[in-house]
Amino acid sequence: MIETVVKGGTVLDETGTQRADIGIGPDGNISAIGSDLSGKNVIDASGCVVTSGLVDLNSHFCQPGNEEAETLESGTRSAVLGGYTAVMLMPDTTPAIDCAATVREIQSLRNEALCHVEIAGSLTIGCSGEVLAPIGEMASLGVAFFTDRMPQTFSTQLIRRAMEYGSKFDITIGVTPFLKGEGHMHEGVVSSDLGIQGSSIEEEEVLTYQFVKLAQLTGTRLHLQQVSSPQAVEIVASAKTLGVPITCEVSPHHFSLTDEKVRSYESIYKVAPPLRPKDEVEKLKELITDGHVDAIATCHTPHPQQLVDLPFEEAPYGGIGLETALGVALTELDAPLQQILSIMSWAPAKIAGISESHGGLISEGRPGNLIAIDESVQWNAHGAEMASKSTNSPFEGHPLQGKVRHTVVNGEVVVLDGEAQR
Amino acid sequence: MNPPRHIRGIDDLGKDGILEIMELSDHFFEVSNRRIPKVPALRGRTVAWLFYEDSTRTRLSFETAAKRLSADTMNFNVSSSSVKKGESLRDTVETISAMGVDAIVVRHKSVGVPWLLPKWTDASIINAGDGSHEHPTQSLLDCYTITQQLGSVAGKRIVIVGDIKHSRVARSNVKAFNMLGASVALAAPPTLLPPSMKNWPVDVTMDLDVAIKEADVLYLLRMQLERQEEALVPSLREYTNFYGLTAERSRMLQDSSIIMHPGPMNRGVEISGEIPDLPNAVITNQVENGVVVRMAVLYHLLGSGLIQTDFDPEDETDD
Repeated sequence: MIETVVKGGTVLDETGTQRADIGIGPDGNISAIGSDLSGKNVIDASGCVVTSGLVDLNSHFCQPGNEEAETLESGTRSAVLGGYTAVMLMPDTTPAIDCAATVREIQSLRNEALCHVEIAGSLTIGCSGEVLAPIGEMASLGVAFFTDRMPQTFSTQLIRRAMEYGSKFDITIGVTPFLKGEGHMHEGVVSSDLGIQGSSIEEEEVLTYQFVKLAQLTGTRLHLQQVSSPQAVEIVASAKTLGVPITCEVSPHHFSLTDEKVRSYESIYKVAPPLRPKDEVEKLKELITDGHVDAIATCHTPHPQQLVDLPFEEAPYGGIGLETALGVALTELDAPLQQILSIMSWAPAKIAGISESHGGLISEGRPGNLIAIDESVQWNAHGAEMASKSTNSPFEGHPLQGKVRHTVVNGEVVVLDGEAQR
Repeated sequence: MNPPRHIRGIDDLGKDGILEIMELSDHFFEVSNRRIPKVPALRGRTVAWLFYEDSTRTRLSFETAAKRLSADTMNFNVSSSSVKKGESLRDTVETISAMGVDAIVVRHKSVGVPWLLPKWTDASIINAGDGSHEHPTQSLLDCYTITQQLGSVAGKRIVIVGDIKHSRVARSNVKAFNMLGASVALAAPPTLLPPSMKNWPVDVTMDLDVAIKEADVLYLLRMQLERQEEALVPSLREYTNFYGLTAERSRMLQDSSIIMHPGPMNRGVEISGEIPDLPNAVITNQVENGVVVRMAVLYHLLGSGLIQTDFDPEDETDD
């Protein structure tokens, strides 16, 4: 029995490409792959690449605590429009996801979501970097990824204890090599011209080296979030050759925008770690195409307009990114589609521990988490036109090539011809 | 209607704009020395002050300038207004804009605020200091003072001493002095210099005793007392020893050189107590010229036609 047929596309997965229709059964799983399939509901994917849905490792949906900026519902709508069938929700909400009760609350909100929401727990109470959170209690509810995102302070000792303690539960720990200190932007030529306090790229590299050493010491899986320095990526790459269990992600804005953007004084260009100069951005791009970066992660961070309007030095860090990530990767990266999908879907699914249902293979019996990408579409990003409740996109006005046409989550067509279906 | 013109940074003016302000300033210098130093050049125009940082001298200087031009002024006093109750910059600007203002003079602790304001108002924006970024009217009055004292800025050696890194005066002045053809040297400890000087057309020295000998203008910056707590200098005493203008060091200056300071001074830190009273210290001239140059700035942005040759006090009665 076939409920839905994704018809006429080129199917691309880890094993290669083929022209095929994909049939999805009433249980939401893929039930047939072949030619001339028919079913109740036929979706035209001609001219498109049909592949596994993207997986984001770094999404902020502001719920609970800041529902004016985003909710699980609006955030996942933004995600599926960008081609994501799974996102990992970061725990720095208000209150933080730092105990079983909050985990259960988010789990109960999942039924409003348009795609799978994997929950990350905080490493310490309130993501404050001070007292360890009950990692085991959250792990027993299925949480497998723990992070504090960006604490104000960072104690090597505390991270070490968390890694040692967490090794018992088969979890991955996420760390960002950036401290929310006084640095509002990259320290360099532009910060010197503008008189804005900067944060040096060397700070990120030193922190990365510390984290690498902790992973080596404790043997606990470590995932470096939001790496912006090419040298930090190289530090991670050389640790991998020594067998250190470490992976790293890079954000689309870090391989496409430079610190020159700050000359506009617009807070949409305030991100953490900060936008780097052109030569570093180019090197980072090369390292991605050379295969040294494991994942592209959006760090989707919605803010209400009144915070976006703040002067640069007072504004919070971060911008929305789920609806632009694929377009930015296709536009900016000189890499085959297969490689881009590998770092936007297949590898992130493994890091998030959800590769049974997402990423990788398209085969009969697996859940129908699919997207159809039209690589030929040219469009301009506009925050106000996005499904996110917030508009703070650092890609405002940016011309992009390639867009998601359909998104299927567990067999349900949630995006059809670029329109969200609920 | 033409789009509003702004003076947010020195680049809004360029060399021609600076020279135009210098020329206008000559007219207003003459006006300021009349028996009744007032002209009706900006009658019916409204200028609002929006000061998010305390600044007595800059605000008074602007206010005096506006009054001498017969402009109406609106003082949005931040400490007593709804800002303390958490009103956003945008709401404040839209509110005063709705009351009808032709120009907003803004000072804010954050870099770039003057560039954000045109999103929310059609008024001309004048930057009275944004964070460590720019302070263009200070720079204009400094250029005017140097021209007045030394004949021109072009060809002069100007040595700026002190906390360059955090100084909006230095950032505007380096641009303006260069545009007018001066050669600029900076003297500061490495911790008080910007991390990159790639776009700064200056010579950098850490030895004031060498730089001072070739200076036509010695420009001292205010040393913020909190820099010691931030470990940017070991102590104020050590700063004074190496970078302060002591009486002894002042004797290394050429006879024709002038000493400048944007105020307020920390006597005994960057400048010894007796220095401001020396004949070649032109610090009070800077203050006097501040009013004149700000008249020129307001007229440049808001004035039209000829500057009235005289002011008839009778004109005021119907206002």
